[in-house]
Amino acid sequence: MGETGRLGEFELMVMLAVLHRKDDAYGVTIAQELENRSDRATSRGALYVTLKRLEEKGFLTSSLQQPGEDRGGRRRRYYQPTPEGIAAVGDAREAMRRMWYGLERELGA
Amino acid sequence: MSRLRDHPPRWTERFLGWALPSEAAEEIVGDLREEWKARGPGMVRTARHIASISSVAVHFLFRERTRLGWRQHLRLAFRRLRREPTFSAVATAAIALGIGVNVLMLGIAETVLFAPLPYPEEDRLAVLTNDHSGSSTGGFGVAYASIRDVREQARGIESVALYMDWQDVSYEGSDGAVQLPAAFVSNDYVETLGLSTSLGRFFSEEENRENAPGAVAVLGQGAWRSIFGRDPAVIGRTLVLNGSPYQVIGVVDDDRGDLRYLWGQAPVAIYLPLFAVEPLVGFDLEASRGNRWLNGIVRVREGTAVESAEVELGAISAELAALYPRTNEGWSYHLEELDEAMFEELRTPTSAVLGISVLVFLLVAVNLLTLVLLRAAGRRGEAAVRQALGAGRGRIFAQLLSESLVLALLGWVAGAMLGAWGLELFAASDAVRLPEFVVLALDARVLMASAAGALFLALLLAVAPAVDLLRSDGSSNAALLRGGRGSADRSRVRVQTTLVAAEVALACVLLVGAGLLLDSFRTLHGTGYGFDTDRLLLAQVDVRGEDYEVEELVSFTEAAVVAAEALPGAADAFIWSPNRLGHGNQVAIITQEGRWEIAPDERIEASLHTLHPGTLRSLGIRLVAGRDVAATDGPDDPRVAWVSESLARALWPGQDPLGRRVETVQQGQAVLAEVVGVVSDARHRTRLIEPFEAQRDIYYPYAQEARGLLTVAIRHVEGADVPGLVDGVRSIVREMSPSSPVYGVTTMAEQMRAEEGPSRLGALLVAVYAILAVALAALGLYGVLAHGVQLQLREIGIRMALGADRGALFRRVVQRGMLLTLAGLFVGGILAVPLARLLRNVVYGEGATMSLILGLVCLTMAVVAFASCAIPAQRAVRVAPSDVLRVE
Repeated sequence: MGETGRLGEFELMVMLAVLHRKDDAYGVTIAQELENRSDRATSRGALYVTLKRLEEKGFLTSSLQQPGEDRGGRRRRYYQPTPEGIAAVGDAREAMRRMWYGLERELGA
Repeated sequence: MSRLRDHPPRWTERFLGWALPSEAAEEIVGDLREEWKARGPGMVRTARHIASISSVAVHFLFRERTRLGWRQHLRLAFRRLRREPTFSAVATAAIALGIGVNVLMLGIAETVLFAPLPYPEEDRLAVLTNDHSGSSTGGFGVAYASIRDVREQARGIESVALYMDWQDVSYEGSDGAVQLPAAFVSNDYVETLGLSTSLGRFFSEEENRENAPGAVAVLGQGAWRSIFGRDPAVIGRTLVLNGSPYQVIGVVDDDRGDLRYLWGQAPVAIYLPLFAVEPLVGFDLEASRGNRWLNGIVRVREGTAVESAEVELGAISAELAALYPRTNEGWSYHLEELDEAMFEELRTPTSAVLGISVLVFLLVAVNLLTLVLLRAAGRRGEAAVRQALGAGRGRIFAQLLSESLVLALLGWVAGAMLGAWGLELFAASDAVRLPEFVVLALDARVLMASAAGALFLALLLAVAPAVDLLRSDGSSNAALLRGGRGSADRSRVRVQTTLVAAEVALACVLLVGAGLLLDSFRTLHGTGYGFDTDRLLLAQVDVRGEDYEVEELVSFTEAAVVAAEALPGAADAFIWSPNRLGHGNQVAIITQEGRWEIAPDERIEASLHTLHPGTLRSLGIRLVAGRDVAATDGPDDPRVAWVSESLARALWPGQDPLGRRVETVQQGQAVLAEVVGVVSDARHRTRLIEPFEAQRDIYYPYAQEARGLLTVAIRHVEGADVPGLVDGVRSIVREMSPSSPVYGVTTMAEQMRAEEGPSRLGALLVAVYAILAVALAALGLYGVLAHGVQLQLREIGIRMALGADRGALFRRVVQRGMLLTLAGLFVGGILAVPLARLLRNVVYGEGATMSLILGLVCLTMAVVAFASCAIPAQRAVRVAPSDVLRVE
C-alpha cells in the first residue's frame, strides 16, 4: 500500500499493459491488452482498483478526455506512466532478471 | 428490443453509480458500456456484464473497508460512539431489550414446544385413559381387568404400562414411621419407559403377579440417597411397609421414569409390583372392570400411528361394552401422545407470549430505525463534507456498519445476559410447574438465533442511514451549504413520522394484548368457585373397595364428618361426593319429566353432586328457594333434587322449578326426582374451563345417590396445624376402613394456585412487555418531535422575534405529536382486532371487555404521548430568539 515503490505482480502487469498501449491506455484497452497477452480473463474490479492504487502510488497519472462512442456521453480516463512508474517497472524487471539468473537450465528456458 | 441491446440494463449502471465514488463511476460505467457490444449475444452478454459489475462493486466497497484494518474500524467506531453517549446507550439498551426478550422466549419455547421427553423413542408413547359418553371431561383411569383384553387384542400396541402412584405406603424406619410416595407398577412399565436400575434389578414376572411368592421392592434414586444414605448394602434388606416385610432388590438409576416427579411432585420413593396393591392397599385389581384406578402408558408398535391404535382401541371398547354392559357401557379408550399430555397446558400460552415477543422485537427494530434516522439527519452535513473530500460511499457505509456492529455486539451481550437472567427467574418461579427433565438454560441454538437477530438489527442500523445519507448527490450539495441542518426534505420527514406512527400502532397492539391477558388473569383471579374456598383442606377417600351397602356408606360418611370435626383445629367438616371439590367429572343427564324418550335433544348435562344435611351451609352455597336437605331424605324416601339457578333456567325457563320433577335414566330405568330447592350457581367443574358458561348443577341427597368416592373437606381455623389435620384424616380413615386409600391431599388454595400458574406467568410477562412497549413508543415520539424542534429552531426563533404567541407555538408542536399518535392508535386499533381473536384461546373472559381495554389503551397512549410532546414543545417556546439567530 503506502509502502515503497515496489510493484505487485498484477500491478506490474497493469503497468506493462499501459506502456504497451502508449497514448491509447484506458480501462477497456488495458483490459484487452492484459487478456490478449496473458491469455486469461481479467477481473474488472481488480483492474480498476489497481489502476487507482497505481495512481495513488504516483506510478500513473490520468486525465478524463472526450466521450467516445457508445459510452452514453461519459468520458474516458486515459492513463499515462510517470517517470517513477517507469523506474519501478525497470526495478521490477531487474529484480526478476536477478531471480531468473542461473535457473535457465532447470526451467528449460 | 434492439434498442435495449445497445446498452446494458439501466439498473446496473445506476447501481454502480451508487456504489462508486462519482469520478470513478463515470469512467467505469462508460468503459463497461463500451465493452457491452463486444460481449457476445443475449444472455451470455448480460451474465458477463453483471459479473463485471459485481466485481467492480465488491472491489471498491472492499477496498474502502480494507484500507483501514477492521481493528481500526472498530476503534474508530468506539470513539465515535463514545462521543454520542445518549445515542449509544439508548441504541444498546434497545438492542439488548430486543435480544433479551428474544432469548427468553426462544429459550422457553425451545424446551416447552420442542424438548423431547427423556424416553427412548418417546414419539411412540401415549397416555391411555378412559372417557365416558355421559361426561364432557375425560381422563378417567383404566381398569386392570379390561387392559388384559387390550394387551391380547390390540395389534398396534406393543406394551401397556400400568401404574398407580397416588398411594403412599408407611415405612417403619429406625426413627419411626414415614410415608413413602409409592408407585405400584406393572412389568411393562419398566420396558415401556425404558427404565433401568443402578443397583440390583427390577421385578421379574413371577414377582409381579397375583399371590407372588416373595414380596419385593425397588427404591427410587432419591429415596436411596436421602433415606438409605447411598448404602449399596440396602439390596437384600427387608423393609416393613404397611406392616408387611418387603425385600429391596434394586435401586432405579434415575428418577426420569417417574412421571409424577417429572411434574414436580414428590418423587416416587419406592416402586412395588402392581399386584402389591392387593396386600398393601387392599385393592382387588381383578375384582371389577368398573374399578378404573390405574394410570396407563402405551407404547405403540413401530410404524403404527397413535391415531390408528386409538381406532383399534375403539373397536375393543365396543366389544367390551357388549360383553360387560354393567361396567363398560358408554366407556371408551382415549390415547394422547405423552408429549402432548405433558405439555399441552403450557403450549397455548407459550405461543401467545412468543407471538407477543415477536411484536416487541419488531417494535425495537422500528424504534432503532427512528433513532438512527434522526441521528443520520444530524450527520448529513458531516457525511456530505466527507464525501466532498473524497470518501467513497463504501467508506461511509463501512463506517456506519462498524458502528452498528459495535452497538449490536454490546446489545447482544447485554441482551443474552438479560435473557439468561430472565430464564433463571422463570425456572425459579413457581408460577409454572415445568417437567423435571426440562432444563431452562441458554444453549448454543438460542444464542445463535439471537445473534442472527442482533445481526439483523445491526444491518438495519447501518443500511437505513446509509440509504438516507447516500441517496443522491444533489442533496449532498444542499446539505453542505446548510451544514446538514434545515434540509426540510419532506420525504425524510414522512419516513420518520410514519415510523413513529408505526411504533405507536405496535405499542397499541401490544398494550391491547397485554390488557386482554391481564384482564383474563384478573377475571380468573377474582372468579370464585361460588362457594367459600377459604381455609379448606381436602382429602380424597376411596371406599369403593369395601362394597358398602347404601346404609353403611351413609353411616361411614356421617361418622367420618363427626370425627373430622373433632380434630383439633377443625372448625367444620363435610363430605363432598362423588367429585373432587372444584373438579366435576361426574355428571347426570337429565330432562324435564316425561321428555326423556320423546325429546332426546332436550337432555341436559349437569354436574352431579350429593348433599348431607348441612353441606350447603358448610360449603357456603346459598339456598335461593325451597328447603334444605333433611335427615328424612333417606334411601327409601321419595327422591328429591336441588338444582342450580342456571339449571333451573335451562330446564324451565321463566317458571318456578319447585315441585317439578327431573327425569334421568339409571341402569335402563327412568328415575324421577322432585325439585325441592334452588341453590346459587357455583363453579364445580373448575373455574377455568367455563367460568362464563351456565353453571348447571344438580344435587341429590347423599343417601339417595351414595357412592364410594368421597372428599373429606375440613374447614380449619386460622393458624391450624394443617399437617396435623392431614394425619388426623388419615388415622380416622385407617381406623374406620383400613384398606381404603386416602390420597390427593391438598388445600383449596393450593389447588387454585396450580390452576392459575400458566396464565399468571403469561400475564406477568406480557405486562412487562407492555410497559417496555409504551416506553419505546414514548422514546420514539420524543425523539422525532425533539428533532423536529431542533430543525425548526431558526424558524421558531424568527417567529418569536416577530412576536409570535408562545402558547400557539407550544400548541403547534404538541399538535403534531398528537396527530401522529392518533394515526398510530387508529392503525393499532384496527390491528388489535385480529390479535384479540387469536388470543381468545388463552383468554378467560368475554369480548365485551375489548372495547373497554382499547379505550384504556388509547387513553394511556395519549397521556404518554402528550408528555413526550410537551417536553420538546416546552423547549421550543423557551427559545431565546437572539441565541438562535446568532448561532445561525
